[in-house]
Formats: sequence, C-alpha cells, structure tokens
Amino acid sequence: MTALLSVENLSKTFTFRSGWFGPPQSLDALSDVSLSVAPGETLAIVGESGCGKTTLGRCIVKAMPVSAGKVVYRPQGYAPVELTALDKRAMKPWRRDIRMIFQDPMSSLNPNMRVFDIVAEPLRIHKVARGRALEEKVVEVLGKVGIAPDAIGRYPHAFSGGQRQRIGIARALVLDPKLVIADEAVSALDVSIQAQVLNLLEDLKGEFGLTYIFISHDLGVVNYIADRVVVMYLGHVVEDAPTETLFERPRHPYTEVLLEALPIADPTRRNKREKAVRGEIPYLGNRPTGCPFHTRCRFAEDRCRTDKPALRKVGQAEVACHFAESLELKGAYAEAPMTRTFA
Amino acid sequence: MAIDALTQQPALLRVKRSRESQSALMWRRFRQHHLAVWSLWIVVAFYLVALLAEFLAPLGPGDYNPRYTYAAPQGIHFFSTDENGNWQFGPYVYGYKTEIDPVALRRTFVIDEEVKIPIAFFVPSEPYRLAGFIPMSIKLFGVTEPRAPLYVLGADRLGRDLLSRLIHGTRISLSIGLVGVVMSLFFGVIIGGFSGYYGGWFDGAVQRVIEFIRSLPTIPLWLGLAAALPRDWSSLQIYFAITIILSLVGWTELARVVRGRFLALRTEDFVTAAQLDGASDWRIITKHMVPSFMSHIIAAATLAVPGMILAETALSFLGLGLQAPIVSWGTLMQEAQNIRTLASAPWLLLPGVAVVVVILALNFLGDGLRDAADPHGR
Repeated sequence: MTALLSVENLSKTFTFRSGWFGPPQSLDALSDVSLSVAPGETLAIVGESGCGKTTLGRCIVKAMPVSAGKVVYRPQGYAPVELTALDKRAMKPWRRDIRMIFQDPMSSLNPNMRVFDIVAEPLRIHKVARGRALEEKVVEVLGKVGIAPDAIGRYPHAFSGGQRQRIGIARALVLDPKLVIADEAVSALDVSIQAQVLNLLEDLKGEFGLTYIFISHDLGVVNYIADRVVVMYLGHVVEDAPTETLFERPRHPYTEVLLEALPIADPTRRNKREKAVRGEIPYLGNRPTGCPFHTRCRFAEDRCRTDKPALRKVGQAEVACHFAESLELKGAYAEAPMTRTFA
Repeated sequence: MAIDALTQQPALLRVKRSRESQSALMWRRFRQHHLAVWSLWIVVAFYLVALLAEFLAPLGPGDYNPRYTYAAPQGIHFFSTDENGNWQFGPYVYGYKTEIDPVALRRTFVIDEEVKIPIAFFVPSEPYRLAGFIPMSIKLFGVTEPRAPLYVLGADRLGRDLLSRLIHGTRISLSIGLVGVVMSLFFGVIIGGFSGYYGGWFDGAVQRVIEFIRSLPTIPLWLGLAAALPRDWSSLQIYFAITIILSLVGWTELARVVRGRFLALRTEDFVTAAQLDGASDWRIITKHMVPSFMSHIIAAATLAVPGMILAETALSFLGLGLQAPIVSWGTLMQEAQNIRTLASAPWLLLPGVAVVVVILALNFLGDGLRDAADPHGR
C-alpha cells in the first residue's frame, strides 16, 4: 500500500547566537529522519524529551521550515504533493487535510473566544460553510466529541481539561481531515481522562476514516493506540516496528531501555528491576560520533563510537544498530503483561 | 412543546444569549476592587469638571480685581439665622473688610461676618461658549449683586478667583494627560507591535533606542526641549508642543508593553493553531492577538496618564511648560513658589491637592483595570 504521508531524509537545524557577539551555534534537532504512514494507520513516535519528536510533528505540518529533506503527502485521487516545497498560499488547501491536536488544552484554545467561534474558525478561514450550515456543522462535530450544544456559548475556562482537549479535537476534525497529528494529545490529562480521550480518538478514527501520527513519550498510551511505533533518539530514528513486535522483541538497546522504564505496579518486582540505562541524554549541540546512543548503551563497542549504523530491516522491524540481529533484548511482556491497560 | 421550541433555536442565537460577554466578566472583576471603583467616579467627576469648566466656574480665569488681592477663602455657608433666631436655608458668603496690619502696615482682607452676600444658582452671565461650542449665558452659581466679591477658595496676587482658575486649569492639565497618552499610544502600539511581531534586527534596534531614551534624565531633556520652543508661538501651539515633548518619552513604556504582549502571544499554542488553520497574519493579529491584550493596553495607558499630568505640572511649575495666560495646575502652583506668599496665602497650594487626588485616583483606577484585564485569571 502506498503511504499517505512520507517523510524523506528530513533534517532540521536550529542556528542561534549566544549573546550579541557570540559565535553562531547550531543544533541538529532532526537528522536524516525517514518514515511513512499508511492510510488508516496509527503511527506512534516515541522518545525521551528532547529527542525531536515534537519538532518532527511541527515540520510535518509546516509550523516551521525544514533544513533538508522533504515531506510528501499523497492524497487519494490527486498527484503527490511535496508539502515542504509549498509556499503559504499553496499550502492552505492541504491544511484542511492535515490537522494537529495540541498537547496543552489550556493554551491551545483562545481564552477570549467562545467555544462556538473556536470550533467554527477553521470553517470560516477556509470558507467551507456559513450561516446555518456552519452552525449545524459545529454543533454536529461538538456532539461527536461529547460536548453538549448548550455549552457552545461558554469560554474555554469554563471547561475541564478533558473537555477542553475534546474541544481541541473537534477543532481538528471540523474540516474533515485525512491525517491528524496528535502531539502529546493526552499527556496533560489525568489517567482516567486519558483513557476517555484515547477511546474517543479510536472511535473517531473509524468514523472519519482518519490516519493518526501520535507523538508521545508514554509507552502505555502508545501500546494501547498505535499500530506501528517509531522510536527516536537525539533526532534519529533508531527503530521502526509494528507495536506488538516492538513490545515483544525490541531490537534496539534504546527501545529496551524505554520499555524497562515502564512503571510496574508490583513493588517486589519493581525493586528487582535492573537499571539498564545510564548517563544523561547528551546535549544536542554536542552529538556523539558514530551511533548516537553509544554513550549510554551497555553493549557499545569500539565500532559504535566511529560508525554510524543505518536503518536496516531486521525481521519485521527496521533498526539502526550494528548488533540488531545478535542482541537478546527483553521486551515488555517478558515478565508480566502490561501493567497499564485502558479498557 | 416549549422545550422543543427552545432547542430548535439557531445555535448562533443561543451563543449570543447564553453567556456573559468578555466585557461583562471584566466589569464584574473590576467592581470587586472597591478602591478602583471609587477612583473611577473621582476621575469621571474631574473630567466632567474639565468639560463643563466655563459653566461651573463662577468667574473667568483671567478676571481680576485689584481691590481684593490675596483675599482669604470665604467658604460657602448654607444656613443662616434671621433676627428672630429662626433657621433659614439659602447659601451665602461673607463679605470682606480691610484691616491694616499695625506692624507691617500691610493691608489684609479679613472675613466680615456682618455682611452676607447671597449666592444664587443658575445666574445669568456674560455670554460664552461651553467647551468652545455650545453658546450659553448662564453659570452654575454666582452672586446676584453686581461687583460683590466671590472668592470661595480665596484670591491670588491679582485678585483672581482661585476656584475659577482651578476649574479652568483642570481642563488643560487633564486634557494634556489624555492627549499625551493618546499620542504615546499611537507611537507605542505601532512601533511596539512591529517590534514584537516580526522580531529580528528591527526588534533589537527598537529596544536599544528605547533603552537609550529611557536612560536620559527626563527633566533636563524636557527643559531643554521646552526652552527651544519659539517665543512667538501662540499658547495653543505651545500646548501641543508640550504634549509632543511629553509623549516623546512616554511612548517607550507603552511600546514595551505592546511588544511584550506580542512576544508572549506569538508563541502561544492558540496562535500556532490559527496559523496551522491557514489564517492570515492580519486575521491572527486582529482576531487573536489584539483582543488578548487590548485590556492590558487600556490599563497601561491609564497608568501612563498620571505621569503625563505630573510632567506637565512640573514643567509649568518651573516656568518652562505652559505660559500665562494658559491656566494649568502647574502654572497655578507657580504662584505658590515663595515662602512669603505661602505664609500669607496658603490657599494657593490648593492646586497641589487637586494634583494629588487625581494622580492617586488614576493610579488606583489603572491598578483595578490591570487586575480586571484578565478576567479568566489565566
């Protein structure tokens, strides 16, 4: 199946000066990132904070320009579009197809606007509907996310965090998008509300025929919602595998570390846990040579310090590790089933 | 049925009706700040005085009477007793009698309680134009007998009525604050807005210029500029020149506020969300950013008014601001510059009281507005 959206060799470098007369410095937030998402798929991007996952999301929606590489969108029935090459005006029609859900529902809704106007704004900008049709569309979409029609005159501050996030989702869905990028869409919510919102996203996916790119640091959430997972570290893709495979049989030592860090509800087992990760995440401006993970990897050898491993196919996964075939890594299901389930 | 009809209403109608508007929320928050509410009334009262100056002042600002130089304040009395000891309502003031100070041989006026001069409301007067527009020939109050003295708050060295001059000075002093702030706001919003929204080298340059201007000591700067004004300018030209001089420094503060708000809002998620909707810069600025900081700007502008008034008063007091015959609080206080005058006619300090009351009221009002500016308490 052809991908709905593919990211090809994307790099993003931030340049800045320290102080007025300081030398220009650069920071590679993303280097040579490639991934693709198939129609109807839920792709999760995971990694520690600072690994570039949010930057990747923002580059895909063109909230910031990219330094190199391209993002190609393949709408059904149209020729592929290279989003990264479009200017603001040419991009506008595709903004209807590719929408974003923000992390913080407190700041992503304009506090001075009523819910009705917040959700209606995309329709007004794209001149999709007006008058009665606009009202009906807004009420319909808000109904889909479970906001009662009598609440549409309220301001965002009158809603709880979960309700606000659902308003944010309604805002993303009101234009009937094809691809939704959810940047830490449930991280700011309580666990019980997370489940609610995740289930809602799941339902809406079926109803609207959506494709998700789900950016998260929470593997429990990812395990619940994603079909495929891309693991990022220091701006690199280190592993790209179907969810089941990744959780059962991780191929990259970093993935193992992430899985190891999943919370365990049982204190006796928790205390026996090996500390697989060591060291701090390196400063992006001072990236290690060779494999980006070698400074913290327990399997690192001389080769890792000089040669940078490329992504290659190992079983069902794509992994960037020299020893991907030989390492015996522990998955999340090794000892006990996932401790956090959302039913 | 009734419920059905209600739910059939168009959604937009329900939006408009159902909840309090933004301004209603702000007003509710503002009302909780009692001091600010009182200050609001005081400020409104002062501006009404400024607007209706000709009607409220019993005499013109330049009317003099050398027979009553440095006459003491008469005050207004409302009740009098007649010969039979009955109370009677009717405002009046006492007349004056001359006394010669036996030591200094100076003539002084003392209140003569034997003479009662009745005061009437809405007395006819010389025709004048209210605020320069509406022709009128009636004053709020005055004496009915021609040439009877009326110095409620006393007289100055030329026998001019301090109350009338204070009322006329209110117009000049308060309007110079407003006009100055409006001009500062104009420059501040435009320069600060560009600086904050586009950033980059322009922002850097503007900020350095603002720092430079703010590092100059203001009084010598104003003095220098005011001294450079041509002597032959009319008083109106001088008035506008002084406002421009005051706003030359005043705009920097407002520009910083505007720039700060723009910078803070530019990275807000809801602004990014609008950008990702494909909204134009214009729509983002007018629909998302300006409504978010309009109230802050109003509060900042209110807080800037007292500074303007004080600056004008200081300049005029030093004799380099407004010049006679323009009457402002500053020029009035020039009269009270030497200690001898103060000892013999302390009432000439009253304009200072007016300055203090208005400045305090405006500051409290600005504080209240600033608190109310964010009704959601974000």
